[in-house]
Amino acid sequence: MKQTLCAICAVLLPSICLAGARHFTFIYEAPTSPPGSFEIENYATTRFTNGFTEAVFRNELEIGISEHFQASIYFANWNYTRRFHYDTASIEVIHNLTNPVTDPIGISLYQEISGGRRAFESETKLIAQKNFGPLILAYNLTLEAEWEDESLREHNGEIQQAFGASYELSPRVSVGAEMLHEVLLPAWHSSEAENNFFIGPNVSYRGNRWFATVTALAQTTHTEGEADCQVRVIFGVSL
Amino acid sequence: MSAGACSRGHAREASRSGWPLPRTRGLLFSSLSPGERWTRSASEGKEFLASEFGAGIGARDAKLAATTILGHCTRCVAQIAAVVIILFIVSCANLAPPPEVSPALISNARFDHVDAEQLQNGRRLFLSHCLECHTLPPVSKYSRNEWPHLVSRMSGRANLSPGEQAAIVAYLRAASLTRH
Repeated sequence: MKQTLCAICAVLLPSICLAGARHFTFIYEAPTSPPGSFEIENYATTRFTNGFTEAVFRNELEIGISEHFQASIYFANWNYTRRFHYDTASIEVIHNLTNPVTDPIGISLYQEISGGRRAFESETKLIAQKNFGPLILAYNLTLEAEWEDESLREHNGEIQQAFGASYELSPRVSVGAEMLHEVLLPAWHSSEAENNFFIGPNVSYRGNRWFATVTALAQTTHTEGEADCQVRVIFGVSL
Repeated sequence: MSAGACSRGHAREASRSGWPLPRTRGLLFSSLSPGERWTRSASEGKEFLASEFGAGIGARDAKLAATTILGHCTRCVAQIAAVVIILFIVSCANLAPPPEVSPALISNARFDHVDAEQLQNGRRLFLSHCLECHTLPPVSKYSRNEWPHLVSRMSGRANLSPGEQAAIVAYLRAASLTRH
């Protein structure tokens, strides 16, 4: 077993390097990872409503497949409220169609499938981005469908829009803001739809072999049962 | 949005909110020059509006109306400031995309003995691999001699093979001499 692992590492390590850095945490960007690149990204999202409510964690391995295609494996999506709870595992693919610098608008398509014990989820995204020199404007439109509970009887939907701007102060540091608009559709009934709107600043730092991005969002809609504010940190590192 | 439009909007807003507008509403801002309207401090503004409204309605309602109007004014100023900052940032940035491979650029690359195909490849790699981590700097930001060192420093992160690295450097060295 050890010998097999060593052999795999020997083959993979020379080609392993740091993939791309993220300027946003709630928004995906259109460019995909360079082919042959590998990266570990760890997400931590903490939610607060009159104090700490919950923390959600994701551990992702991102792989650049070709110049315009990347795939990711989320080994574990887990959360902590009073104790740690394993939720699901996911697979994600992103296909880049146009470039945000040379084309009028950079477009990518995103699909994620998550599965776990008593949970199945599909997330489809349209990612749009435009770069104006050091300024990045990005927009995501997301359609999410989830089935939960025994025999996956409970089913819910969500439509999400996110818009962000990030300005690169230097190649290492960027600052900006993100806005998130969620429309929750319990049992896909539009009559019970719930609108939530979040807005807040973000900051990103890129080191030689790692990056870290933080966003703090505050809810402006005062929806009961939804987090008043949430903080997301993404820490990416080369293997 | 102009200052006039802003004050008209606030008068409408106050009316909608249920506060009766006094007969003197025409004088609400008219006694001040546009500059004075915006340079008054919040407390001065509150006192001024309270005294203007105070004649027609209760002092408490007048203060509420004044606070609402000033709140809207502050938001307007913040929105205008945000637009000005964004326009300033965009105008400062060099928005031109990296130059296409043209005869002039090929001519610049003759010292490095690089052909057009290699330059095209270099441009394509620059646009895709470098963009994943950061925005693209203007090619003229660094000199011919600075680019090889910069690309070499980041080639590990961008997963560039020696051939790909050489193609990007060749393109950037040639492009840094072009005017666009």
